Amino acid sequence: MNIRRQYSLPSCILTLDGLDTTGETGASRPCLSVLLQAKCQFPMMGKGFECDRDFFELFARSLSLYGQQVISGVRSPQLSDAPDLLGTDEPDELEDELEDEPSGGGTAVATAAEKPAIDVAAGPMQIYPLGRSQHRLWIQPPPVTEGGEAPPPLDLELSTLQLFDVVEVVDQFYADTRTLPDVMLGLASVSRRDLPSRSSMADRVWPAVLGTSTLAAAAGVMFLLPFPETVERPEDRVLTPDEVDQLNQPALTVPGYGDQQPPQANPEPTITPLEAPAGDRPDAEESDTNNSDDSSDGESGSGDSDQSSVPQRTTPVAQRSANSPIEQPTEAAPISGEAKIYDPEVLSQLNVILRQSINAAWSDREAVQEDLEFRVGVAADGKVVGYRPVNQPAKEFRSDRLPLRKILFNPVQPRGNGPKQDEPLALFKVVLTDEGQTQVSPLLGSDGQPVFHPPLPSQSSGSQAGE
Amino acid sequence: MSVMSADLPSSPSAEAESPASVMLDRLETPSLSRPECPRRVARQIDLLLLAIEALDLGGAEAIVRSAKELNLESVVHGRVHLWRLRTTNAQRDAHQRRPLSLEEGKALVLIISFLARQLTVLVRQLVMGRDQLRSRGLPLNHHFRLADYLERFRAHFRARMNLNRAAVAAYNTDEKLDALALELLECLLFCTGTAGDQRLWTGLFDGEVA
Repeated sequence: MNIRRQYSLPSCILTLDGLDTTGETGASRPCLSVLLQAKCQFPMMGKGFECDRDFFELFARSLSLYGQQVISGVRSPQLSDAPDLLGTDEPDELEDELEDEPSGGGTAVATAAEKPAIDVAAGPMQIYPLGRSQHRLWIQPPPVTEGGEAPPPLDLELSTLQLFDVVEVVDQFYADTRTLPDVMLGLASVSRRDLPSRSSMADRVWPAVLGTSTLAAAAGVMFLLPFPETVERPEDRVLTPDEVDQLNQPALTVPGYGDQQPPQANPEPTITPLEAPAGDRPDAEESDTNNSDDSSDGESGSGDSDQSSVPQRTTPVAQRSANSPIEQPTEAAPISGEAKIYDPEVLSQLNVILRQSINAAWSDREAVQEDLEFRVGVAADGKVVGYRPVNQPAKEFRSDRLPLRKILFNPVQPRGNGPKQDEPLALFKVVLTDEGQTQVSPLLGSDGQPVFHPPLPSQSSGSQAGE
Repeated sequence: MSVMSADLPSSPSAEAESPASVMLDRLETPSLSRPECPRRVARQIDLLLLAIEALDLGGAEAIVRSAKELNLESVVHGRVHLWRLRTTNAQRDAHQRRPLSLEEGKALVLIISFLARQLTVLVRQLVMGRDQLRSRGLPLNHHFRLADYLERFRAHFRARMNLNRAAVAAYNTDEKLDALALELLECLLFCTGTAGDQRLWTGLFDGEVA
């Protein structure tokens, strides 16, 4: 049984003749599953064409894709290429809005007058925009009979409204599930890869040319600059003769100190810090009444003398590492500051503060098996800014369990060099005894060097403190 | 249907087949690197809604009302939320930096298509009037209804878009804005079709999908 389906809109009438081969019975509306002939008429132009199923599917698909192009402005790669003359006039929504130049009213007339020739090889169904609101539809229908002569092609100019009618007729066919149900409306967005290049070759080449020429120009300018004749290398600071004297002199006056230190640490033993006038320097006398270790006492005295020696200024890093092979450099470095706190009142206060803070921080006293002797530098505000082990057990003791380590104040800036050295320090000898006691005594001025530090009888604050 | 789902909010079947999801499934989810509408899509959707408002005096209310009629209230709920969705257009004066989700974009496209179908007669009249004026070489203001639409669109655009942005400032003349309004009118014409919503949704992502 022949079935005829007609989809009609003012600008386009689509008539499909076919057969129902599904064999369904009782359906209110038979299914047109085999298309015998499709007839498309454009009554407003008095034209039309007939075709078979293959051409009709091409016709419907092309119109659907072109309808999407009108909405998005992006031409589908499945459509045959539009002629170049018009491809440039094509509105491109993807372009930046800045380039979205609205066209004048006369564009359609002008382009319609100069229609380009159709490239027949591009396909039997071609559609592309003519100006803003005109569309050209060129159709070469297939021969009606096998081997027959093809009918003349249709060349139609459609307004947007007429185009919409044609697309809508096709959409109605697609939406009809009882007519060629195996033909579906396959809408798909155009992939980014299929976008035509949006800028001309000149636009794309221009940045590269500009960059290369700028580089060449810059290279040319650089070429004109003279080469530097001498390259100054950073040099170590050269000591002045005075400094050399200071460096050499104490090495002679402190015998025996180097015995305790590794050989490479020898430049340090100097006793120059005590250059302040002896009269106004009430040096804290070291009272070693509680200190049973005389040898370490003497050693600490010599060690005291090297606290602010000149060599430390010139080679602070080497000095630090040599002085404290066990401790961290940051711990040993601050002791190199010049000790300038001589006021017995201050010393006595600092003595108490230091002892209290050590006692507060010393948690596991059982860990100390032997007397640990340290030299400790204390700032005027009572902060421990550095310490150095003196005797061998102290050097071998684990630093992370030391109470001194806990109360050590880490300055933001290393004190080993620069003006920070001038911060006044008080030096103390601290002995952590194996009985869990803390002995603190001022170190400065009572180190067994009577030439430089005559012990002052007024020393009252230098008393030890046994806990 | 919506009443039923409101009565049985905890019913799993009601959640699985909510009216909104049935509507939204009509539009395919594009394969994007990020599951959100690109800025160009958000802009185009907002401009189409702007064109609808320029066509229809009660367009703003119609948009909210059609969200209810299409059972899209769960996606577009109320006037304020609709405004928030539209401010995802980066060219808006009150632009919000939040992206338009694909679900919200679908809902707005369905609303646009729904309203465009209701305005089919007017849209066809205006497109036809424009073609007639152009074929005779007459200015656009010779068509009263068309001039009305263009004037209202210009007013809406200038009131709501951030004129300091370069992309907006490019529309600095009436002629350029008229051309934009006519482009949107053509787009709305194609939205009135049988597959208008699907074609609009697919076309919005032309050049955006991987």
